[in-house]
Amino acid sequence: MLPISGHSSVLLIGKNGAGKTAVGLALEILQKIARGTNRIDDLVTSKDFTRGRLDVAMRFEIEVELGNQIYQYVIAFELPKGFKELRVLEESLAVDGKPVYSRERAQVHLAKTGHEKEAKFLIDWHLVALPIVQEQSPKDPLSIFKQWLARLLILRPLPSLISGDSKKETLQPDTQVTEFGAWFAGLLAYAPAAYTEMDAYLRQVMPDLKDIKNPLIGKDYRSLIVQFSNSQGSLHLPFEDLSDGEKGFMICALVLAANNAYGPVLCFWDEPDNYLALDEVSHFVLALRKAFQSSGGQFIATSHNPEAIRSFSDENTLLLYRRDHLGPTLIRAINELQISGDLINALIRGDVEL
Amino acid sequence: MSVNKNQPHLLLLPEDDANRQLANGFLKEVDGARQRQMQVLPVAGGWQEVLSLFKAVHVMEMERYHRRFMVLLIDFDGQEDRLGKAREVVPEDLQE
Repeated sequence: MLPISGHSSVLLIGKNGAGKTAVGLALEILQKIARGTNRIDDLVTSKDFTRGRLDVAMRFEIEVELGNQIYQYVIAFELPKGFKELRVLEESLAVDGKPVYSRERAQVHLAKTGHEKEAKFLIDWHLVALPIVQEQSPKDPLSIFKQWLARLLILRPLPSLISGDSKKETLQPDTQVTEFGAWFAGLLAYAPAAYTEMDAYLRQVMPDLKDIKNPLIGKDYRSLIVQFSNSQGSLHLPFEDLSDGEKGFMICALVLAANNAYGPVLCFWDEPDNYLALDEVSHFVLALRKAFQSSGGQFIATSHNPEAIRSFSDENTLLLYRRDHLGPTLIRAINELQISGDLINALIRGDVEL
Repeated sequence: MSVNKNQPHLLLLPEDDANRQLANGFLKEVDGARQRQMQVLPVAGGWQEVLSLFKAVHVMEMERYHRRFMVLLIDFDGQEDRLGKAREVVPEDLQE
């Protein structure tokens, strides 16, 4: 269990292989389900069982408060002997403890809602039910939860792959943010005022920024152009020519604006300090922490960077620790540990252990 | 661009981790533009180390960057004379 309840921002630290990135990978599986992937083979395979133990079910559970209601989604997979593909062992969605639907293997049980009677039906046990169960309306708890889960921002950006070109609009960027242009277009189509927020943040970071344009350069094909200007003139740069760190600022601007426009959003950002100059790291992290504090969303970062680590407090910094590859990942908040002196120095000495 | 050194900017030098977290909490409450004009420096490792670092590094840098202000975050630990000792290391021309 990841104890992040009640924190608007959380930092995960720990040695390489401790399981920090795996938290994002687990969230990504749930996100994929909500985005419509329901064939289990496209989500997990037999190699994903912990330590290859096929006799122990693989479980994913998430609990979230949305609009003063607690949503709890559980899905467990198993691989019985003789099976080539995993199947669903159990699956359920509950709101404030009341089931929306529950499922055991192929048997799905839809709870009674309003005038609708409860219903039972069978589905292929190699398929996840969440994308299939029909929503009644946008206010349906199923719809609210699925939309929130689909809009999780799980980010491991690869700036060199981000061109700024787009053929569509989306509010659901991929983890590497290669669809930055589509996300930019989708966000502005959904909430044009989001540009103001992006612009305000970006001008703090890059005071000579004039504007960002997204002109059509072909049929249904757009490409972002960034304009800088000062008293000596102006410069138009294709988005892909920005530096890796500058692309990071752009992604941060989109995260801040997205959380305001269609949040509250859960944002998991794996090493947000990557590509940033040292004197930018704490400003970058604090801008994200501050925005998520006031919006009701949640920001989870991982990092090995001293400046990023220093930008969090002991109660919202979690140590993930694994003795060896065969052991489980243990998690503790830093304020529950005995650490002599400065945390960064203790991390450098390798003395932060459970 | 990081802290704009042509504008008033503030560096916070904490004595220890507790003071570092205090400074972070403060920064999280100020608006974005002001926040970018403030920077929490790495923990000095004791109140005397704060004063030594200030003397050895920051006095010279403050002479160089006239719009720089510094906050030295020191615990008195019940010893009020530390304030006097801290004041002693601040050159007259940098005192306000």
